[in-house]
Amino acid sequence: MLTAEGLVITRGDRVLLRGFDLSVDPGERVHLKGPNGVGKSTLIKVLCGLRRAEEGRVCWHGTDIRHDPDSYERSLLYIGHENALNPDLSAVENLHSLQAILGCETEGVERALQDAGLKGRMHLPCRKLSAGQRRRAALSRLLSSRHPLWILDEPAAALDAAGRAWLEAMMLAHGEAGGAVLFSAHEPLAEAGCRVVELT
Amino acid sequence: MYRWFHQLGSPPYFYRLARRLEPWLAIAALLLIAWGVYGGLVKAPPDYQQGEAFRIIYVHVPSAWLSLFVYTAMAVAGAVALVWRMKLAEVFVTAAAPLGAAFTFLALVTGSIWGKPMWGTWWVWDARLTSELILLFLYLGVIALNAAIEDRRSAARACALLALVGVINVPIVHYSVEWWNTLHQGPTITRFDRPAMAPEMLWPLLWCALGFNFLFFWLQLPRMRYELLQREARSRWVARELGSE
Amino acid sequence: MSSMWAIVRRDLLLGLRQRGEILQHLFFFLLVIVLFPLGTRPEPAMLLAVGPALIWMAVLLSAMLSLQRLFRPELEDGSLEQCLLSPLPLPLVVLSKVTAHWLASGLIYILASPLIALLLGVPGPAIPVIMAALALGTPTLGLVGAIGVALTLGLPRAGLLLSLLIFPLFVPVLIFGAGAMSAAITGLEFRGPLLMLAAMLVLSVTLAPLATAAALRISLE
Repeated sequence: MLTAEGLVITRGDRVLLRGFDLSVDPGERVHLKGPNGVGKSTLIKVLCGLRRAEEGRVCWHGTDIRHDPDSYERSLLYIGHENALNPDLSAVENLHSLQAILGCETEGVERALQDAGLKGRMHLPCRKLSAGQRRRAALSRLLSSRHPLWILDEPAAALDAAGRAWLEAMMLAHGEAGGAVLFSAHEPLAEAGCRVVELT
Repeated sequence: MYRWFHQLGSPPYFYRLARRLEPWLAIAALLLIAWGVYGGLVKAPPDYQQGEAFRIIYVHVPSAWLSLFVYTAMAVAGAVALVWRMKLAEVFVTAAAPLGAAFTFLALVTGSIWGKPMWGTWWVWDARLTSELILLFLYLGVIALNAAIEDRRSAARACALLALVGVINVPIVHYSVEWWNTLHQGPTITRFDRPAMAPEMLWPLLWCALGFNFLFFWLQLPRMRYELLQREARSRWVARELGSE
Repeated sequence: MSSMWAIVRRDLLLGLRQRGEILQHLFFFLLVIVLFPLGTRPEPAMLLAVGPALIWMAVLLSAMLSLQRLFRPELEDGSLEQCLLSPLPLPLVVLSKVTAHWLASGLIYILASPLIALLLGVPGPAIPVIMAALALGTPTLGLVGAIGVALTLGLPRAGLLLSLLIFPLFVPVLIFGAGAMSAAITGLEFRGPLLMLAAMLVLSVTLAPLATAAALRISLE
């Protein structure tokens, strides 16, 4: 589904990756591992199309994502380091508008937030939620997602054990339905059947 | 032709070509300016209206012309940099900005000096001077933006975009300042109405202007080379060049 | 387009939650205009002569302040990244945000302008022209200012740099806006400058979002 060929990624005048290849197939879970600062987030941004690599290309179903960004964006669900939640709006308001802006359906938002464990707190401004609760709110997008590809940057950050279990369950279910997940994390997540790509 | 242009975009090729060209540009600049200055200061007769004071146009007009030329060149280079992602074009923009600012400043100072004997004040809110002042701020904006962004690549691309936006703004500002000026000054002769130009006055002006053009390129190329060395410090061709020097 | 509306709604909702900040900008705007006569002889003739410039200076300064909150919160909380991945083209995202921003700032100045006109002793027939000039000029300021914001996004202490970058872009609006107001106050023909303002607005609506989108991509790289 997703292939990266010969990526050369720089940040400033530092070369982070040279000649990097990657492929993600349906049903696969790919875990990006590496020490802090090695460039996992930068690589993820390049794979999402938010940044451009110096050389090489990223292809979605064989087509360079630069030539057809629309169809790639429709198939991709990206959750980055930050939660994309404005602190002055509630979780419901944030996710409602986010889903609407991204062209996804908005009906399932409240149910998804309930499922994420935010039942009593979804109408409070996000500044009143803890870091873990905000992460859960951000991840609740995964529940109603129809996107074939998920790209998650450190999804388990700030989550407690129950939260991690919930996330792992979602990732496994997604894989069983034929979707693919690419994620970065420092500890293993949904280890069974997961392919690890180590960045140095 | 297209291939040469493509080749020109390669930093090592440009670096070597620029080094070879620079002495010739210096000579051309020096000769043209010397010839123009001689023609303007010595040979041309004094103006019937302004006397000897008009001679400052031999510095003022070429400076003003260069200030606009450099900004337009920056905008064109900026467009090339953004559309074709050409590193050299990016470097052109950031290297040219301080030079353009210097020419603009020179135009403002000489314009001010020109006006003093006529109008008794150092500054007058004349349409052309005011436009030049705003152009100076446009240049300062590019210089400041370049200094503020840490990543050299992003900085150059941001400056390229700013130069493009600015170049669309320049005619708009010029027109609005002129309108504002006619509104408030009335039909007096603006001080920069060129005196009726006899050929002996005009030709030295053109030589000076052309000389200033060569001067700009003579100053610009080393700046671009320096910027390239800085940006590509880790690459192999830089090691080769510096090793061979 | 429902996505554009979603953006406008969200930003307006946010503005409502942060209405303290918006009111601060409005007070600053009023403050500049009220302080000026205190610094000089408040003769009606002089106030009328200087009035248009004063109004526009207050608008420009408030605009530079309020533009600081245009894309920054979205950059900080990560929603700007998501907007880049939206099926909605980035220039339209920009247009939606600038529209919402104008509704929370420019529109308020326009509504406050009759009050300002009163303070400056502007004759009645000139007031609609003042409002029209503001209505045509303030969106342009927002659209063009957004380019500056996008270029300096993510830079620390970018406020001063932003002012430097967008000041040359504001000058034409200032000239024609003040020109229209002056003409109306002195009873001269004001349609010319108003039409120029309209032309600049049209140019800004079509081109500025494109430049802003390009600048956003550069800043997020």
